[in-house]
Amino acid sequence: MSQIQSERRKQLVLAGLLFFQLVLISLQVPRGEESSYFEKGIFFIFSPVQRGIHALFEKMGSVWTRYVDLRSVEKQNRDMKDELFRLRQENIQLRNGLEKFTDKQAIARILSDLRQSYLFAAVIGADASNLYKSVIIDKGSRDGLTNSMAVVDKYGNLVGRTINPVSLGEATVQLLTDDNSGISVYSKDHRVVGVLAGDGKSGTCWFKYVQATNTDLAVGEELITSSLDRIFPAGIRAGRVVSIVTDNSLFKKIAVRPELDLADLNFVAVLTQRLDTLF
Amino acid sequence: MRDVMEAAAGILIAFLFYTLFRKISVSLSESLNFFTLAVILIGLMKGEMAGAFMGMACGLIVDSFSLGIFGISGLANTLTGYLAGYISRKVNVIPFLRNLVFIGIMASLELAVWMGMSALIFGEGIHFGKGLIFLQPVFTAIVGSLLFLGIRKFRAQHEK
Repeated sequence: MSQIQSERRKQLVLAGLLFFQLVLISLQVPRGEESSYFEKGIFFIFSPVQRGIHALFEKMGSVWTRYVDLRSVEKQNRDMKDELFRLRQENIQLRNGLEKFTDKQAIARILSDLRQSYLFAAVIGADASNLYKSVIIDKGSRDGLTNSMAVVDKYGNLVGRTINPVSLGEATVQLLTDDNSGISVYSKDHRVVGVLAGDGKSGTCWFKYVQATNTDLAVGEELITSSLDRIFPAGIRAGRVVSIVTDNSLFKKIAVRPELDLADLNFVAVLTQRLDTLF
Repeated sequence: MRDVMEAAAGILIAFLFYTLFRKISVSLSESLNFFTLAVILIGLMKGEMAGAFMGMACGLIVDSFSLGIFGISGLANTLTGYLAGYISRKVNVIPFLRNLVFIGIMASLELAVWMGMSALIFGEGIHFGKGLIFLQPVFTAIVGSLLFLGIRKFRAQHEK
């Protein structure tokens, strides 16, 4: 084969590869909820590798914690005992409060359902191209996870929701800071209702669709989920208003600092059952 | 077969470093693109066809671990891998300084194509990681050229 023919063949292969990927891109524009089987396939193959690397890294970290950093264990133990004492007292008070409204059998059922409604997961990876869009967790369809389940951090603050692709042992969580995320929220003090959307670039969120004529909302006010979107249960802390700008447009421009701390996001809890359906 | 195994090993190593760096520091992982580095190195050592296929594989892995449009990184990396192999066949990029500049240009090209495609499809600004993303070509070039030098020296010693 001559040199020119060989060059031409290579250019044709390149054109074929580029065309294949352009077709892949064009199939998704405008973007839909469902990811392609091809994308899911790659996620299925590589997410266990990521899980393995994460496990290895965690093991190395635990060696450090167990053998080198023992100094902090005593303090941690004391703090946890205090926390346990406080939580026990809180538990007794809540049980007593609950008994006023329902009988013992119903309470036992509710508490049993409540224990099964949370699934704890470790964060094993972040979004490959944008930190504020998604994270990967180490629980998947095998553990009962599906699309659109609410996810909270260890302090109970809103993290986001599960989204496709969900593999057998891993799942993707769309963060509330993603620009395609939309969560129905309201302000805690003045009950101003709107939609919380991420900007996808800086970790800030926007509280949208609050009319310019509204004068109730104040800086520093807490935003919590309203459950109007039928994905996120009501009452989860989402963020705090940091600035309010009113210009000539119909709606106010309200910046929100999410309660979620990405630097401290090692473990999350997935709400596998809507809590408001339990009571 | 050996080429395929080397490419697969390259992908796995890039994936390992990408995951490790994400765990250590997010800033660190934003300023160094291991996948592009693997694509350019394979293009340099194995030619444009290997570079293009490696680019497609690495790019699609990046896309599958991102909520962005599936295929953008694949497209950018395929083009980068092909050009890395093609140009290195026409121009001598073996000397260290030339290699440094060449990998820097290739990494910049990948970033420019990715940003251009993202801006075109999303129609809005993209995440710059507080400007750290612009350091990507520089760090990729430094690490890449040092790695290439190391591989060359190792091979030379091995052949002796």
